[in-house]
Amino acid sequence: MTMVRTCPACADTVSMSDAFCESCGRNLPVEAAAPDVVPTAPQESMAGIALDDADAQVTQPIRRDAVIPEAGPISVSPNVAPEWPPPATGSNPVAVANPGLCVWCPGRVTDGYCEKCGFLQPTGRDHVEVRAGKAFGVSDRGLRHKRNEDAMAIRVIEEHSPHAAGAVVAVVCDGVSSSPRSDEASRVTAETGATVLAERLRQGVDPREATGVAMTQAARAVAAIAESPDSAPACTFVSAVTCPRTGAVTVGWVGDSRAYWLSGGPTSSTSTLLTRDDSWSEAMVQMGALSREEAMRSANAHALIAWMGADSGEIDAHISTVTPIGPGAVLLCSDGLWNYYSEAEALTDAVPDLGTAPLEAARTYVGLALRAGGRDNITVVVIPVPTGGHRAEHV
Amino acid sequence: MPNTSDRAAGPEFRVEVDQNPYLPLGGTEVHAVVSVTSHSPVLVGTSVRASEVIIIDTSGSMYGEKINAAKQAARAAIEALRDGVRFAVVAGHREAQMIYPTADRLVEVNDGTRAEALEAVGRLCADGGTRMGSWLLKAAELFDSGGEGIKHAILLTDGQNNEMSDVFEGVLRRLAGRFVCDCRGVGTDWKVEELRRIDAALLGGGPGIVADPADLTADFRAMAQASMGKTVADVALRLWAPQNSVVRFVKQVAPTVQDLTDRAVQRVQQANDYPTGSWGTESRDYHVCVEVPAGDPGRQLRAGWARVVMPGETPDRDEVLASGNILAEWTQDEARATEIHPRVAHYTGQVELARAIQDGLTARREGDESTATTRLGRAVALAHESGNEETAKLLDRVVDVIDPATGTVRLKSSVDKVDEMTLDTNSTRTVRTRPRQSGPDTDGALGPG
Repeated sequence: MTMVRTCPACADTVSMSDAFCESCGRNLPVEAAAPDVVPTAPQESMAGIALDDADAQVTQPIRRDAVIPEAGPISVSPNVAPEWPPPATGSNPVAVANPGLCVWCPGRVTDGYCEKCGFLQPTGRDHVEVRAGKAFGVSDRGLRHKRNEDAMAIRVIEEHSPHAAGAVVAVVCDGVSSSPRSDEASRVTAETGATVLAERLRQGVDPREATGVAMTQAARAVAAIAESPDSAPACTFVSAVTCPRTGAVTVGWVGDSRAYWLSGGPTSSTSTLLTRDDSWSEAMVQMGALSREEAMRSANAHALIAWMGADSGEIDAHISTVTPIGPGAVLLCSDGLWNYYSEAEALTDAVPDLGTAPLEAARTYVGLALRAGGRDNITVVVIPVPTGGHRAEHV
Repeated sequence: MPNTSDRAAGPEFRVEVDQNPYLPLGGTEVHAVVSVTSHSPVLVGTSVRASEVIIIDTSGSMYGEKINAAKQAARAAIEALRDGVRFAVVAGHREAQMIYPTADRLVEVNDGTRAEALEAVGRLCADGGTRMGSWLLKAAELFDSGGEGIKHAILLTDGQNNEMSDVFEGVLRRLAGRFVCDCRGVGTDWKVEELRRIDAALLGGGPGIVADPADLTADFRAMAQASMGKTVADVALRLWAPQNSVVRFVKQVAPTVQDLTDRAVQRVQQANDYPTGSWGTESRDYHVCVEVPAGDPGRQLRAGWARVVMPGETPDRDEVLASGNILAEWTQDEARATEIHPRVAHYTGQVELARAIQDGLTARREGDESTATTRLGRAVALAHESGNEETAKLLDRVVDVIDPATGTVRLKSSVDKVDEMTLDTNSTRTVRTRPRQSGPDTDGALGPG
């Protein structure tokens, strides 16, 4: 049924709901329109991306800690508000507990991407994190290199051990990229070094002696994987042993990977570099031939004069012990970090909560190096040192 | 990555993604062109269920040559329908009137019903008003009685709609996506914008202008044949996007420009379904823009996951026919990050071209000559730059081009109504760029995962 009325202009019959007169074309008054007989369909929900999941995201604690197992259901800790998007330094432990789950959020993984946050999941050694309760390490491929040739290893001596209870052992190795299979070299060297060092400490061997033995064995292990002296995998080595009982920190190194003492407060020992690079530039500076700035500008600046590998000959292991006043932290790193932050003070200022949030600190250092260019592989190990100990002194 | 479906009649779909995945540090906008290609069997069998409703405007203005041409055209369309398809012919005036069959239902095409329908079309006569909303509601009613399958309508009109705009818009909102409708305007008394609204709501292939009634028959036959080539209905483009991201837009950019952004429906978690209507053997391109939170250098993100989906009864029964990844990777390499993928640039230009033409013609109608000159000049430059010769030719009839490269033009003092409407109607038709030559595996575009 059509309700009709009359066009005011030409008096022809028009429908109540017509917008204009079909005869004369005049627009018809709107108020005469019939009520809308067409029910307006309810709008489909336009709920877009699941932003409402954001809360769930915020209350997720950092998961799958390699050392501290979660008991029961995931506990909710509202104080943990992960950065979003997750920093390039993720939270991927060496052994992923469940490869079907995202390393940054509670999403499932398909085709290598998280179904929730969308990030490509790290594979192999591209990005590795080690959480050992008392020390934390992050190693990242960086932005220019095709693979990560850095390696790290951390051991914590059991609290019930008769010797060196609670001591922390960490090793960082940087594969020499001009040598073959340098990724394998660094892995073998770091693992051997940390394992031998921890074994000796448990047996009651003094940290300095244990460091010497560990370095010798690590050098033998990496030499053993060489097919010939002409094709010798090679890497750097830096180790640290922190002993909670004596407060002493023992470092050993060959090459240009570094150990730093980083101050955690005004009453702590001041931040300082604990190692001296086995590099051409450092040698020039020590000889007084060049200033540090001049040496670093040289194309040879990073050329190593000592390393571990079948072609290195007898290694000249450097070992040093300090007893710093805490709080603070011992930082081991490859040149992927210190190329951008070489001064101990700069490293301290860059990450203020070093000792209290060591994992986050290690990630932050890696993130800083990535932002600064990430030209090399980056590996950072942070060992917090609590309040106490004696004033730092070289032994 | 091409996905092969084992449904006998269904087409094979392929998704390809073209983009520059690299973003500068702090960059958040990810653009990509998602190309969807489908291949149907050459001959569509009776296993494909389809319904066709032919709506002919029989308002008073159709009197004379136009109504005769419309009858010829309707007959050509009926003849192109294959046996087994359900169909109806509706006359549109003040209300929608069943021409064939006389009852409110669809009937199956066979020799008998075809002959009866051809006969019935002869009884069409021009009288009454133009109420497109009510015609479309009648078509929807008929489709609802006809069950599943391809649902296609052809709507022919020659005048402007005589319904209050809120009534008309209400009908379009209600019917959006319920069936596919191709619209044709005959003569120059109809409104391009109205048919464009119907086309957008009902996912048509772009409205068409048939200036000369004599050309209607060939055009209707082609439309009916194209409809008979469709093998799958209600296909959706499903776009997953990462948590804390926003889908800025999803636009079909080829063969016509169709903004689908507001058509999103969330059927599965964290993904939007955009309706694409029915498919035969064809190719369509979509420009997708997702805004994601900025990531650290070197970090790789799946910024979007585009899937062609055939909805099942429940979301877990949806069939994914093909998929592709839209990626993002942050880099400090400014040169790499600022490069715009040629296909993204091309379609950005084509969308702007459509906008410039429509703006320019509106300004011209309203007597704003300076805006009209600027916008149509911009259109000339864009058409020239993208090699859209078809549109360049149409623009030539509306403006005098002084320099196509810079878009320097003068408005013609008198323009044929047909030329203006043809330009307006065809403004949303784009020219395609060739997808890149390399393999279709976009998943591997960023190297080893």
